Amino acid sequence: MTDRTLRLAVAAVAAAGTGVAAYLTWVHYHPEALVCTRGGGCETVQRSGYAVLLGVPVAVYGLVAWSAVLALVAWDAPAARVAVAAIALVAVVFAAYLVVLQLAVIDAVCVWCMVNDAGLVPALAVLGWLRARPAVDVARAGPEA
Amino acid sequence: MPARAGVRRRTLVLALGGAALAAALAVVLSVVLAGGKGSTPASVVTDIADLSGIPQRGLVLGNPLARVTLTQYVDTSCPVCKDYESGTFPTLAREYVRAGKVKIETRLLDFVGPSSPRGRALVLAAARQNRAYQLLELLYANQGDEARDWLTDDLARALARHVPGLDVERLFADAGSAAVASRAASFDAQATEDTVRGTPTFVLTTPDGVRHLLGAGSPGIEPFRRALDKALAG
Repeated sequence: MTDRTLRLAVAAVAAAGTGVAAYLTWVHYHPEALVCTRGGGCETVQRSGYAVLLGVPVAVYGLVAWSAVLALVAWDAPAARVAVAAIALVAVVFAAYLVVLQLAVIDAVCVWCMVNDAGLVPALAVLGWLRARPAVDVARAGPEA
Repeated sequence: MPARAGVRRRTLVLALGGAALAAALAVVLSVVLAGGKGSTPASVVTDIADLSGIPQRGLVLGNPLARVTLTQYVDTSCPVCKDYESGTFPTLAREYVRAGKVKIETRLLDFVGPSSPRGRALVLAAARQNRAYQLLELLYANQGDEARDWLTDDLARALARHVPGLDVERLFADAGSAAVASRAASFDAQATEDTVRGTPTFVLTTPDGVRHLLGAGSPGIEPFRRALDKALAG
C-alpha cells in the first residue's frame, strides 16, 4: 500500500469520525431529538453519567480529536504523523473503555458510539501506526541511523 | 545525523508516552466522576399528573367528542417516553384534554426492553377498568433501566395498589388474557400503518378526519401547542 493511499484512508476515516462525533455532539445538546428505535436502542449511553467528562460531553472530545487528525493529515509532516499515532493511541484506549462501559456497566449500546469506538478508532490506530512507522523505525535505529 | 535521530527518538517517546498517560487519565477521571450513577428507582414514586375528573374510556383520555385526537405510540420501558410523560403530557392534559378540546389515544408498543410486553399487557388490562392512564403514569414515574427486566410482579402490584378503584387481582388476570394479547397485537399493525419507527411517536387526527404524522421524540410542549392550536382553528 502506498503512502498516498494510506494518507487518503486516514483522511476518509477521520472525516467519517468527525461526522459521527458531530452527530453525537448535536444529539447531546438536543436531547429532544432522541427516539427509542427497534435495534437502535434509546441512546441511553448518551444520557448516562459517563457521557460527560469534566463537564464536557465525551462526544465533544471525539469531535476535537477527529478534527485534529484531519488537520494533521492535511499538514502531513513527520511530526504530524507521530501526533496522529499519539491521538490514535489515546483514542483506542478510551474507545475500548467506552465499549466495556456500554456492554458491562451501562448495559445499553449506542449504535453510533459503537461505529466510532469499535470501527473508526481501531481503523485509525492501524492506519496511523502504519503511517508513523517510518519515523518509529528511524528513531528505533538510534544514533547510527 | 545522530543528534537528529536522538531528538526524533525523544520526541516519539514523549508523544506516545504522553498519549498513554492522557488515555489512562481520561479513563480514571471518567470512572471516578461518573461511577455509581445508577438509574434504578429506589422506592415507589406516586407523584403523577393530575388526571382526576378527566373522562377516561379504555385507552382514550378526554372528551370522546373532542374534535382533535392526539394518538401517542409509547413503550412503557422507553426512557424518551418517560421524558415526554413527565415533562409534556401533564401540560397537554391540563390545557387541552381537561378543557375538552383534544382527546389522547394511547397505543402501546413493546420492543424497547424485556419489561415492555408486561408493561403493555398491564396497561391494556387497566384500560379494561378505565384506569390505564393512572397506571401508565405510575409506570413511567417508576421506570427502570430499559435494558433490564425492571417491571417485576411485586413492583407492578405495588403500583397498581396506588391507582384508586383499580381491582388489582382482576388486573393481573386480564393482563394474561387472550383479549389483551389480541389488542396488543393490533397496535403493532397500526404502528406499521402509521409508519411508526420509534417511540414516542405522535399522530394528529384533525377535525376533518385526516391523520398527520406529527413527529417523534420528546420535543417539549411548544410543537404540540402549535400543531393542536392549528388543528383546532382549522
